[in-house]
Amino acid sequence: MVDARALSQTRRGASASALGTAGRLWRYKWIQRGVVWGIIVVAWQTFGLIRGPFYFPTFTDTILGFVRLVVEGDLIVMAASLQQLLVGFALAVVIGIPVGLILGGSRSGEAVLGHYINAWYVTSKEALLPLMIILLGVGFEYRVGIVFAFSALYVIVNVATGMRDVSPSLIETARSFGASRRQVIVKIALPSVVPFMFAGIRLGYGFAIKGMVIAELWVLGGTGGLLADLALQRELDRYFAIALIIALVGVAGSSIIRTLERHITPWGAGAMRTTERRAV
Amino acid sequence: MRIPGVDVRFAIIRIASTAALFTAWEWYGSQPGQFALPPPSKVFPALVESIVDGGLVQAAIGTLWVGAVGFSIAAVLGVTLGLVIANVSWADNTLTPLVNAAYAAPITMLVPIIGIYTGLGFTGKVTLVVLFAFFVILINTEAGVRQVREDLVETARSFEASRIQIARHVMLPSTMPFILNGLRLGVGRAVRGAIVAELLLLVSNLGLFLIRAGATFNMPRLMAGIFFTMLMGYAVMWFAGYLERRSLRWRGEATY
Amino acid sequence: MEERDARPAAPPYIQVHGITKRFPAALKGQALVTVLDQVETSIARGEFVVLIGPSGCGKSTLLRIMNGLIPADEGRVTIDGATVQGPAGDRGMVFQSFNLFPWRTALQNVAFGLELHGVGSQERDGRARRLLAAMGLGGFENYYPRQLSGGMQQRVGLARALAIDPEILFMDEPFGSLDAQTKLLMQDELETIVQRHKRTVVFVTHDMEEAVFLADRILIMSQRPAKIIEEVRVDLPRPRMDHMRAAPEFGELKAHIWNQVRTAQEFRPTIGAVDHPTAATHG
Repeated sequence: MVDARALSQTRRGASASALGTAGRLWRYKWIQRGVVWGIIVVAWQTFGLIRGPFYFPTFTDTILGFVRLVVEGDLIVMAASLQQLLVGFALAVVIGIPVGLILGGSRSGEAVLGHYINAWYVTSKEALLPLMIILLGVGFEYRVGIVFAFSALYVIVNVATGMRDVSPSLIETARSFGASRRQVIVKIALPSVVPFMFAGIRLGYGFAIKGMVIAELWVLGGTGGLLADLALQRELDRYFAIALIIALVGVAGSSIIRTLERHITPWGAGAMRTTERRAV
Repeated sequence: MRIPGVDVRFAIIRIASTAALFTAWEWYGSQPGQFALPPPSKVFPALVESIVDGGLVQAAIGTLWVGAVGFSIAAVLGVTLGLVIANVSWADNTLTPLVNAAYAAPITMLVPIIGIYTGLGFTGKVTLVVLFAFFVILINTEAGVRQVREDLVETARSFEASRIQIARHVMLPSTMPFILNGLRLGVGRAVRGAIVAELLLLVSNLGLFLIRAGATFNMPRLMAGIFFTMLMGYAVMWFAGYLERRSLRWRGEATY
Repeated sequence: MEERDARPAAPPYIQVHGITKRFPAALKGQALVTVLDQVETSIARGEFVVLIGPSGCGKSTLLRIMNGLIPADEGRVTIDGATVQGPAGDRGMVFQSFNLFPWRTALQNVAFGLELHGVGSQERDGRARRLLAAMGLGGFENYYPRQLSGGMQQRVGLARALAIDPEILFMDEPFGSLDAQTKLLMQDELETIVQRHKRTVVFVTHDMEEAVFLADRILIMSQRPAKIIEEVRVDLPRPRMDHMRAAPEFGELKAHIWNQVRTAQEFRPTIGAVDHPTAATHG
């Protein structure tokens, strides 16, 4: 993989040198980004100017919308949403890890839990909204509950996969040193699960945000309510600004988790690519 | 480490624990004054009734149709763009961060404004489904192209294979499992997208069934709707998995 | 090779009695495959014994049964008179694919066995540090396995096994995945260590030169179902030096072993060689 990258780097270099200075600069990733992202912003601005702010606010409108959000205090609404998000997500991690360990590490655990986790996986969580409202109301518990229902599953499933994936030859190695069953679990299984756990946490975080947004859109409260109001009043500049902030909260949170992961797993297992996994 | 075949202990634990849970649920649900969590003895008749009178089946067909149309569009767009981005290095450098951000972002937040651009009808619902399913397909396609082993490409090149032959005989077969995986995940997302569209964008089909049951506090019917959504999820994911396995077997590349 | 009687007859230290092992067949519908068939042998204390044979013959399986990692279907192994029930803390093992724990640094890997047996952190770090230094890995204590070359990783693997001060060292093709030059260096190093510490070593390989260079005694195994078909005593003087590889006696021994192994290999064609159930994960 690394070699392939280096190869394409030199190939690109060779063809670019013919084009002079511009070509040489084009080799740099951030120059490419500057150019392409610049084009996207210009196109966005132009399209916005043509269609007008009631249809598609321009880039600058969106920036001004962000300023208005800050000045008019709408960010406080978003902070409350963020708090509910974090509580639900923290619950998902704290409960999801042990459940995943049991599900993946014990045959009996799988017998008891496996089919519910599978059912949870295939069910569109959105279908739970009308029920959750009746069970938990429209306030804090309901929102935390939805966030939990969206995100805990991914922590559980990834941790369980990690437990099933523990290398048999490393277990054998530990046994050859006379390790007891307990020692194999503590010293071999748990450290091997850590990268999977982080994969699950990262994925779960993304789904926690999805849960938060849909929970509030459903009851028209918090950030969701704000979005609905802004859409009705066609205040699209602020709407776009909020949408970008939500996307940024996702990106920022997942890079925080990634940094944490690099610190906790310095042996370099962190490069594991996350994708949704099939339960069981 | 596990022995294939029938595991009697496993089956006993599963059946016993499930039976215990349902018994407890039945007992709890039948308590006087308990209304939010109806017992299985009320939920399952409601489920059968809703299926038999055609309401649920018709709703499911409507929802799945929205999902299927959106999924097809997302599949074509996602695979094509994934192949392009993975093969063009500047597109990879500039677009991949945006794709990753969009993949992680909640598509649902577009629901209040999507109507401005597409109208609230069928087009709006399909657009939402496309947005739900598109990114996961794109990202998996891209990952598939990236993991093609350079040594295999070199081997093919040493046999003087042309670019097209390399694409056909090396890139495609080793990328295929990833594309199919992305498509299978895309199916799941498409179904979710369709349900979101019918709950939040234009209430109809399954969304209408759930909302009506919830609004009238018909709890057995609401639970039946959720159960049905689950069964539908099982069926759709099983079918997608079956197609995935079948196409890999047909190509003879099931194991990697 | 007539000097056999010159050595005092040491009492057998490891005894292998009628070991038989069967594995489920790789193909469906077949009966069990007998991998080891009534294997008998004994090893003296301080002896360096090499098991050699055609690939897939069950050398690694026999090694694991001797160490207690897997149970035999029939027969038993005794060490110092006691029947082996399972792995024990006074027997070290070195693996072909190193099997270092990726989340532990070189130092923590070497200290692993001591940690299992409750040795204090001061003492185990000290011992691990000294061993790494002796292996030429001073300064690499805090490197993770993926940051080390294959040869360095296997030095760590060897140090990890030696750290518990084992009575017996079991080595499963330890140099099999190293390049040719590193392999020669590691053989020299192992010879030095064995000379210094005088341990009993059971060493599996399919490299004839390696076998002759290291062994006091070579046990040649047949194709599945495997038996020990011949014992070859290597009476080259110790310590073994690199120049001995060029000696005519060395070449003769190698040729003799190759002949035996080849005969064993031709004895019966194999279908789907299975060396050990975890062989697939060993690569």
